[in-house]
Amino acid sequence: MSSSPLLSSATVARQEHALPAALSTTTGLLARVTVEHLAYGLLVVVGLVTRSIGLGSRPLAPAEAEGALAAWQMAQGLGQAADAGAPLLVSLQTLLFFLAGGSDFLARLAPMLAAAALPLAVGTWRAWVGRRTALLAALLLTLSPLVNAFGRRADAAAFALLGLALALGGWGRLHGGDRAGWRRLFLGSGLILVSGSAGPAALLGLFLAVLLTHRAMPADRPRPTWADAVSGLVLAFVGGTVFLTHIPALGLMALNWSEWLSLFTVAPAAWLWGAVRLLSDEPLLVLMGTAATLWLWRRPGSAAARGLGQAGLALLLVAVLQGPLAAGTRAVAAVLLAAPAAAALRRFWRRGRHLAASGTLPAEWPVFVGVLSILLVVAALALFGYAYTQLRVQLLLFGLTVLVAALFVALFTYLAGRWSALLLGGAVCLVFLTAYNLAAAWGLAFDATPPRYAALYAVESRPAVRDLAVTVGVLGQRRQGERWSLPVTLVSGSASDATLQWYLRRAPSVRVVPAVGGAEAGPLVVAPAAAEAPLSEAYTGQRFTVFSDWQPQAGTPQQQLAWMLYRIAPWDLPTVDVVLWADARLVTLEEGF
Amino acid sequence: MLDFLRFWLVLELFGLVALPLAWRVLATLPDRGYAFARSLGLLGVGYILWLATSFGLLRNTVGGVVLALLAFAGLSLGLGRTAWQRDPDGQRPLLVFLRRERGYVLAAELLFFLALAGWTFFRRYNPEIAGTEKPMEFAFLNGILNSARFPPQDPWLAGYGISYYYFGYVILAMLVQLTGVAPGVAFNLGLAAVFALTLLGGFGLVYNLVRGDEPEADERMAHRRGMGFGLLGALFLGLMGNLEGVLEVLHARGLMSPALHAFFDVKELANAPVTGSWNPGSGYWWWWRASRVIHDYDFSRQFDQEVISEFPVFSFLLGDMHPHVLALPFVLLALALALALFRRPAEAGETATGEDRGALWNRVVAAFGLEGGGLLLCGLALGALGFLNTWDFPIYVFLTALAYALRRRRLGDWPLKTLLAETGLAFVALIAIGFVGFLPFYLGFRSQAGGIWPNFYNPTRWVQYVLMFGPFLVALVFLLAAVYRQWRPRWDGLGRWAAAVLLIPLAFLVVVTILVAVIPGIRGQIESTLGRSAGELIPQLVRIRASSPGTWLFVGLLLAAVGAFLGRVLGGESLAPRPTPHLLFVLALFFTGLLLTYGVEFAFLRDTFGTRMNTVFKFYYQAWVLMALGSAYALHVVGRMAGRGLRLAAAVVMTVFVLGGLVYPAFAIPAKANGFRGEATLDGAAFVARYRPDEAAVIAWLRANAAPDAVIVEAPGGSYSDYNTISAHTGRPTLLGWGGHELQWRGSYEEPGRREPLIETLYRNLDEEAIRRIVAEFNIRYLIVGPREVEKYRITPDRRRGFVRLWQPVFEQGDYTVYLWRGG
Repeated sequence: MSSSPLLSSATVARQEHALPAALSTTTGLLARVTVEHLAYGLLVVVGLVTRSIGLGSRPLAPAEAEGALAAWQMAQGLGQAADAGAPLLVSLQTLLFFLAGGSDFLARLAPMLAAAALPLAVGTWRAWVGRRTALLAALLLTLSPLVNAFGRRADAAAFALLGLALALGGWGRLHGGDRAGWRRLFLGSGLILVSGSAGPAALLGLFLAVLLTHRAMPADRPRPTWADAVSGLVLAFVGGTVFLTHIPALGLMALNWSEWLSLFTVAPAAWLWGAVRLLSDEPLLVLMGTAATLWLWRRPGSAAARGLGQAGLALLLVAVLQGPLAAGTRAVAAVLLAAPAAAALRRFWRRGRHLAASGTLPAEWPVFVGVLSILLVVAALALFGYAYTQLRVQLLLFGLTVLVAALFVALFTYLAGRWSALLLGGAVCLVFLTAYNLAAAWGLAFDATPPRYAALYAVESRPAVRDLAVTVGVLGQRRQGERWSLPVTLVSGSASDATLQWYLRRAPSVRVVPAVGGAEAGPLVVAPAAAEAPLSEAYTGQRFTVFSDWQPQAGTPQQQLAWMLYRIAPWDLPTVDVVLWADARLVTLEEGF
Repeated sequence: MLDFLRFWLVLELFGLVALPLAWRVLATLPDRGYAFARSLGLLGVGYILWLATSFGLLRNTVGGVVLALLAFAGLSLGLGRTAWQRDPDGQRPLLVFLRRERGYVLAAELLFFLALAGWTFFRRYNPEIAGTEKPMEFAFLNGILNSARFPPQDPWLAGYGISYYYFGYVILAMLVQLTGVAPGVAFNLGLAAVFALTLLGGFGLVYNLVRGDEPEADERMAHRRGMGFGLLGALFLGLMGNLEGVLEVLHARGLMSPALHAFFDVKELANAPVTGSWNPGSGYWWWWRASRVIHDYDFSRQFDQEVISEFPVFSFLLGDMHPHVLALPFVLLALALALALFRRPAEAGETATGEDRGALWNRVVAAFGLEGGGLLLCGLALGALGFLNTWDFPIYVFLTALAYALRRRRLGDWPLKTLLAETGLAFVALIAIGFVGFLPFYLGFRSQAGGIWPNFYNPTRWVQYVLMFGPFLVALVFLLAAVYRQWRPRWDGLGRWAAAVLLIPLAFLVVVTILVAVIPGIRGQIESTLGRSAGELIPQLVRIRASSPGTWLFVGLLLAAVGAFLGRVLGGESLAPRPTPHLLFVLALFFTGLLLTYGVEFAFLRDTFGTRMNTVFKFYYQAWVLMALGSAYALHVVGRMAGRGLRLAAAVVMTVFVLGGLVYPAFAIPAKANGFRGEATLDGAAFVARYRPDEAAVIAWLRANAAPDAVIVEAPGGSYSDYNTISAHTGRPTLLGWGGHELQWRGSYEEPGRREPLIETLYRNLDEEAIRRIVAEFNIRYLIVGPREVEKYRITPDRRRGFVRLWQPVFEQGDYTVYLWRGG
């Protein structure tokens, strides 16, 4: 391809969509594999590998455990004991648990696979947004903290993202006049419908994207048929009813939508934190995508990327209005913003190459990059230090450094020109942003060490919840020779009864009672530490710290800043304790029990 | 203010979403169904929500409502795409229509908004959800709000679903979830919404009738006449009262002599205080008597038998969210569908000949249009009436079938036998669709109906009938005069009709009397019910009937006159000049209305009350709806057809009667609103916080802390009492609420009767084993101990302290304690 700076966008577009010449005459499966395919494959493999490592290391959060428990009970043939989870996720979990037993890993497997398949779904946008743009968007989503986070949780948001990408791919095909696009659009929509509380956001995003890009559709576009629409409904119905074995599971859709709608708030403080979470959870796509969309707003061409970006901006606004807990909406916005971010990156890259190709590298460029980088590093260190020490001098240093950096950039702009400053400054910021993005990805998705955690959910489970289950197993082993041989009485009222039931699921019976008393409590009782447990003196107890209940917005300003920079939760994290009460004769192995 | 705006906006949203579907389904109406779009939207979304939730495909949550709304929107846009897709001229037909008919659209919107705002203002001065059956309705509303699955839990019989026609409460609960308005506020806003939808529906129906009659060349005049008579229709239907208000005013002024009182014989009017002014006052419920103008007695003629003769404005005044009130907007929608069917031009499939069932069926399906979709939609809309207020279902199916027959006759010269066969098939099809479409409801429904009984000894006195329907009877008389002036009566046909109408019911009574006399089993039952021997009964029955023949004769002759004319048309007689189609439709309205009121003169549906009270109530109510709308149109016809003298007479007489009918609302509305004085609030539950703050605190605590399906126990109480306020306001199911009403709903007191001693065992707190069994059986979570429980079960302080052995106190305020079962 020519490196001439005078390439027209039309030429670029033609070259974007043109297949490599060799493919037109070559047959055979392997021969049809292109570099592009390999690139997508690599992204899928990277996604699979990174997300499957330690997939079950973090215990299920209460929000995850509710759905997993419902699926487990269905897999055991107990019917749908509780209304929890998302229809599709519960269906897939039920199938997996039925085939391979229940585990934290299996509970998260289906969303992990869905998130790993996301690059392939984004690949179907090629004909619409351009091959390279689509590939770049897939790469950005592979690096996305929220996509990674949902890909490592038992949360149906991953399906919503996959469904959205598929549906948009179908819509893109329609722009090319391909009737099959309608089928994909409806199938993707059907997938979204049964994909939990991120589903409404995805559907809204899809609707907006369609609305904003439909003008570019050809006048003689193909019409949908009833079969296309029905296919989506069939997918939703089959996928949401545990493959037609449990029709009422589809009703979970209504609960998921209620959950999403209930996130909307009229509290300005919540809106502020919604905006903060946008920047801290998804810095790269949000900032780049927003900047790109604004930049593309009035530019000819790139209608697809522009439309997707505009839909993404609308979803960002929705996410802000829903406050800090709207992680699913943020993830949907990220998917929509991936295309404009990728398109902008490509233009950025081409502009950079054009400038670099004009001759020898200007001497001032490395100086600018070096000085600016040093200033930003100093500023970052000062801020990080302030977060730890609260020393005013560090805050002053931060402010001073930022001021100096701004003056430096202004001076460079004056001396070297706007485009040079923009390009180089943008490149430096992009590096820092990418670093912060990777740190956010680590914090949200991979770091399972308390008290460092990024609080995707309001309540998280601590590893001790597994210890509690192990202790129950040990007591059973000691007493009866078999791990799960003792019935458990669970006194409700802790942060998540479902989580406790999940980890105690293998007990012969888990009886949930509102309160306990008297002789019929059973050999093992799990009760909230704060509740009355009028058991006789024959019981002995052990306390377990099982849940953390902290959101960044609830912290002091220092805690908030530390969380934003380091993803550190306070050391004195609010926790929820439960006590495992055991009949003393179990512990002492007395006879007569 | 904010709550009102939210409610109004959401109602507008339903109208907007349903507009394309209304455009398609009500395409033959001049207003394209604009006035009925909101009702159609509420019905459609409510049906999808209810059906899907009943089968587990959705849950009754705000998310479920939104999904149902989206599904309905998709259906509306899909089926109504001719409304919004560009036509060959590049225009969107719906937008063109809205621009062209903007006068009508603005008038309809203004009417709706003013009616909603006006009645909201009224409700602010008497919002309390207390007295009569409001606690029951509030219990239903909260029970449904707390039920994620259907059938919804009965808050007054834990473990059972509601056994009542609860669809109206589902629709109201839907609005609560979408608007986020508190249930206590939504109760009053809901009433205002029903009022506004009723007025709008009445306006729209009469507008379509009048506008559709006018020649197209004179559109402006047609529009004006339509609007004018439309407003009259709204007035007659939803604002005008019966003539009893005039008696109240005269009595208050002291102008009613004992003889007059005896003549009218309105229950308790003679004993009411005389205020000396024209205003009957606001100190007591004088306006209640207007719903009791029909005065029945027992066989001995010594004791009163309650008969209810409600009419819409009374219902709105009373403020009970009863099924017959909630159903009003949808009754008007059903009438609109019937009119749209009536106005449909001939369809391609209708010209096929053939008398076999297949050919008949094809013509029926073609007549409703939309390739079968029309029949399905019509059937479902009518079936919804069965779920809203069961009595309405057969009435409006009958009317729709009649409209079908008149239309088929209008379009072609079919043999009468064929016409009747098709009409019968349409009738059966509508009943079948309406029943099957709501099968989940019927499967769990237990009716208290116990067969059809003859009305031996309570003929309605004609003067009371005129008090009730006076203005409409006058309008009908003038209409018939104009009609028969135009098309001379065929006396032979008229005579046959009169004979049939007058004599057949008498023959029925005679036959039944003979059966009573002759068959020992029946005689024994009647004698034991009435406490007299057959030998004494029969002469007395004849005397009673003979002493009050006025209604029988008057209404019978009117019915015969209307029926004879319709019979001529249906029989294929070619009338010249051709009557306007709408005249036939309106005569069908009058015919049905008169038939309903005439029928109860001779028979009634037996229920737990054992009298014709409820039959008169339900039938008179629908008769009011039909005759009110018919009357507004009748005045239009009289104005066009009648000679000058008749027009003048009609104007004068109708003015007098209408003014007489307006006396009631003019005085009753301020009376019920306490003269619009005092603190104004829309929250119907606020009175609990004001007068019983401890109980309000318990309610608030349970709403915040108890699971939606947590079973509570409180002392059961009598109907219309303030017992079971906690379960009514929280929606949490209690073991037993108003037992009397459970008997009415389920037709049996077996289960409620079983629970009363169990509740007593819980409060006596002596037998631990029995208590554990009862708690386990009903999965009881909370026990409420308050002043009512203390009084009813004589709970001493010692015994109260003993509760802690099995129950953990979790909330206490004042004299109230909420206990949580300790489990185990």
